Amino acid sequence: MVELPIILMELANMLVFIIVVLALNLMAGYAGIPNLGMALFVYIGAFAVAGLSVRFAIILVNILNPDFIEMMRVTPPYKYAVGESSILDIILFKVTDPAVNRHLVPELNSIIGDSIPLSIMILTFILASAIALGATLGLIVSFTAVRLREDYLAIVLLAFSEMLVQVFFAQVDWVAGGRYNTWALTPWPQKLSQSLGNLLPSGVKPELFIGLIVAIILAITTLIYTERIANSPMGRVLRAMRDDDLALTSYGRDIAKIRLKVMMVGSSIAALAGVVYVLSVQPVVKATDYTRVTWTFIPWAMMILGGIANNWGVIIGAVIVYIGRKLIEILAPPAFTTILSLIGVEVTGATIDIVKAVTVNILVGVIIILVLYLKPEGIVPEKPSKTLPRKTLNSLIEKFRGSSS
Amino acid sequence: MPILSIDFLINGLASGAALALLCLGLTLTYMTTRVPNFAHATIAVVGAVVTLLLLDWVYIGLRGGAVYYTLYIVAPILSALIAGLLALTIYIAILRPLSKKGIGIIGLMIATFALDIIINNILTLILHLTPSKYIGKLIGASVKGYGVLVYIPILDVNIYLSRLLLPIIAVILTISLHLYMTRTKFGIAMRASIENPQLAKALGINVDLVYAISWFLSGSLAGLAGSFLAFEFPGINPAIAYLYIVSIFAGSILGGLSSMYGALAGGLVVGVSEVLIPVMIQNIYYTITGSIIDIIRYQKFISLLIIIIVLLVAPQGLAGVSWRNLLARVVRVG
Repeated sequence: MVELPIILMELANMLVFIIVVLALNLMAGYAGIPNLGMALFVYIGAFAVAGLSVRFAIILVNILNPDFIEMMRVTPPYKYAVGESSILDIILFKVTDPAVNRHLVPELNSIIGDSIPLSIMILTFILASAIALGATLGLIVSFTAVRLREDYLAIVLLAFSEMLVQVFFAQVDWVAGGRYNTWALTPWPQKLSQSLGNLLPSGVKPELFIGLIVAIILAITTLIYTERIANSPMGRVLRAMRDDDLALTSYGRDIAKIRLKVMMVGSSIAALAGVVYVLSVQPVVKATDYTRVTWTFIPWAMMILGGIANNWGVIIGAVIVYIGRKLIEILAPPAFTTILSLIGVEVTGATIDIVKAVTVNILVGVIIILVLYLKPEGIVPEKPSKTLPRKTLNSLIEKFRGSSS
Repeated sequence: MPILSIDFLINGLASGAALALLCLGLTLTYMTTRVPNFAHATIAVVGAVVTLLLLDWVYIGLRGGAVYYTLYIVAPILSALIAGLLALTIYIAILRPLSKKGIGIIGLMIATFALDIIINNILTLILHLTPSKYIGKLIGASVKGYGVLVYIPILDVNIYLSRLLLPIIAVILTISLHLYMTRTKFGIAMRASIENPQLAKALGINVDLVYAISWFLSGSLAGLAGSFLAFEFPGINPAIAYLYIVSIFAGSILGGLSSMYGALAGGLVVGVSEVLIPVMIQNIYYTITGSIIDIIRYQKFISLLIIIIVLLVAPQGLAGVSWRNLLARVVRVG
């Protein structure tokens, strides 16, 4: 029998994917920006919780307790890694050193957990920095190609995502851990966790439960927000841009400006999804885990299967692909082991891991192509955009007539 | 320490030649069918995998010998053929039907993006399950590759034979492709259908056939480049295609995505600078400060920089710059 904590964790993970897909749908479905760099924006949210907020937290803690960094210089286990480094050196470079990070993050967590104002400050910093980083990156990345055709935009987004995540963040050790793991802060107050711990069934960690609640809140907010955009005049402008940007330009709209705006909004939503992912599912952050297969390819498959430019459709797509993926991951290894043992090839644990990933990726790829071929509009097709009711329109016309005459 | 040594120069040239072939293929399919092929690097990896499997299969324990050198002819041809057929199948079985159904450019792009990941995963599976005769599993083997080192007396360096052959093959291919495009009937038909497909169709040119041929050519050029790169690898991880595609796009964008000669030049520039610039920076840094910085692992960043600079300064690429005007202006200023 599957245990409750695992179900809750999968639920949180699925909600993260739903948020990512809603953001992707805003960019690719409504605005027609083929974002092949989603992985970068999700990763940057994860970085905001892990690499960045730890630095903010150590500064805050050092302000409240000026001996903190001094203490790090003399007490084991830090003193071997830190030595006589300057404060700036510690904050910039040593924090992500695995020898320091592993011990520092739990200690910071307990300090933050003891004081409610501190945890609120850290939480605000995490959310604000994720939004700011996401928006800035979305702006910078798309700026190079925003005036060109969509395919250039796709190439640039893919190039930035691969280079920044898989080369920059994955290789430069001091920024975000690089080749080593970094641990993320869990900024929840201790009192909250303790009182929740008494209420929750055994085995369910309070952090997971709070993360799940945050994921639910963010998913619902994102859904309401994207639905409202889709049904607003802005949504109609976005669809017009997707279908015929030349026509929209001739009506006096600046395509580049709209695209940049949408990229900023969509990227910051994706970054928030990254934050939620780290807070609820995976507190260990490593850049090489944020591959384009998991965070770009699978969200695209979810969106195409569910129905491009339909928020409810993409949610259905996300649920189907997510559950299907989990089922394959459970079912593929035993099936594969029997097949291979019939041929007479020995199976090791590493092979099973590869087979799991490979089966999922191939099937998801096949789904994308089949849906494009058989039912390009997806399970739930795009609906015509909602306009104002007749009565309101008439009264508006009356109002304008009255004011002009 | 000199700023550059001769073997780095040859390595740079080999990487540039490989990238030039890949960019040429990508640009060719982009010009004809208007689809940026995100699976192009993976098709090159298919060529590399075919060569590796062949090498492993006939490996006779010694580097050199008549059988071994024939491999330098057989393996690239076989790889080019298989990769070309794969690209052709992708076009005929998937992209053309999708395009006929009215799927737009974004949809086609996503289809190649999905194909990239499908083929890459199939390759991973094949490499993991194929028992290799001599070097253990072909993924992540730590043994030296199959490459033959050749000593060149004049320059006093040891160079992999494949790196030496690659630029030569690239030059031969470029010349023959140029002749094919300008002197043969089919080549002229091909250029016509790139210029104006409607008019070409009206004049009785089989545009579909031209498109199919261009996909086959593109795939086989990629397979050829991948095959030569494979000679020096001890094993290959297909996931390298995920990063390599960025360099291919960088070269093609630098070339302008609209001219075959532009693509060749762009690929050459990107490939050479990816190898040489980090080494140059490193050596200059060493002569100034006397300490070593390890920046070779960030070499792929140069591709990203090239993409950014080209798109901001001259989005039409090398092909879009009017060289005559530029030259006239430079002469006037000078």
